[in-house]
Amino acid sequence: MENFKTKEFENLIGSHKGILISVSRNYSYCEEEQKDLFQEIMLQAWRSFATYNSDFKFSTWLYRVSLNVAISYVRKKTSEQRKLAAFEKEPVIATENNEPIEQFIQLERLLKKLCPLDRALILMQLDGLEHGAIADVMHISKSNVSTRLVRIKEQLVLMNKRK
Amino acid sequence: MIDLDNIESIWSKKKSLIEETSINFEAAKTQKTNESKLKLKSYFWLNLFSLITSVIFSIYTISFAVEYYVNTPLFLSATIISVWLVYLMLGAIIQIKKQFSLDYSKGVIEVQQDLISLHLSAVKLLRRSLLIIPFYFSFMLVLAKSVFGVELYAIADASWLLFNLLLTMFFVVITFYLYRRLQPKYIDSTLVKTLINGSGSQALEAAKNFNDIQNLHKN
Repeated sequence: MENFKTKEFENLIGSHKGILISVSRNYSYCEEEQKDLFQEIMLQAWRSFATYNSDFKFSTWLYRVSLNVAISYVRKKTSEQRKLAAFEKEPVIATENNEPIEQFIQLERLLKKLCPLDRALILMQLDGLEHGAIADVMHISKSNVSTRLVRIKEQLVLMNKRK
Repeated sequence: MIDLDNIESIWSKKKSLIEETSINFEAAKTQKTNESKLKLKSYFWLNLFSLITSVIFSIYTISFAVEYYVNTPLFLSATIISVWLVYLMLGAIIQIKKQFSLDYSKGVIEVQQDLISLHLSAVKLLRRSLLIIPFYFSFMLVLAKSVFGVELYAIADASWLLFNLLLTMFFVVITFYLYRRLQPKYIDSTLVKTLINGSGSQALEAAKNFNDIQNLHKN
């Protein structure tokens, strides 16, 4: 039974790894932290898996766990005086053939300047989630999501100009 | 400068990064047996300490109130302290319950509010503790009777009692001000920042996050 559950968990995580990677990349400031956060999300996801109700979408459930862990992780790291400036000095990641995806990395850096909650909202929108699904993950109203996303985009435009 | 009009197309480049990434389940399995780095143990111990202390002292003050129920000043003093201790006790129970029912698969705002509340445990305790300051005279009465067997109000002269009455009124104002100010929404004020920072650096971050959540609700 335990093996079956483990296998089911691995299969589901395997088919939704994009969420884990996306969240762990966007809430970490170096590769080491990214791996650390990734593992932390996996740990909490495994611990919470017993309460997962298969009547609901696994992606929504995984976004909730990942974002909750990531936001808590950022709070802890910030309190340990982790500075965004240090992260900005070096490229975060390169593709396997070592060609940095310039625009993508710049966009990721811009998103990291947003507060953790705003980052969560824009991240899910960019990952293609509907406003209703985002509202469900965040536990706020759909109209709240729409309004906030407009403001985040305005904020991104301003930050982009200032760069 | 990034071309934000094509933000979706820039973001789609992430797909290639995901495809290149494989998940090391073996490492994850090892991690499963390890402890989480997001520990909340210190908050549990703080709230448990607050709970135990308030239970012990409330038992004493309640029995004191019962013993001196015919002596109005002593009865009232012990009752005031008991009510305050029960308030501290309930606060600690709520925080401990919150910690044990924490589920990371619940909605982000819901979980973060609970986590912020836990990170602000020390601040909440400080805020609740402040409430007893204007009633310091009740403490003095109970203490004098318990330790020295003296009924302080009976032997004190009128001018001293008047001075304490004025001091109480002064403390009411100060306490009211501090109780209202010691909230995460006033984190930008130096006084609050200093007080919250003294409760741990994560409390300061939690207070900032609390404001982010409030801003999200305002929209």
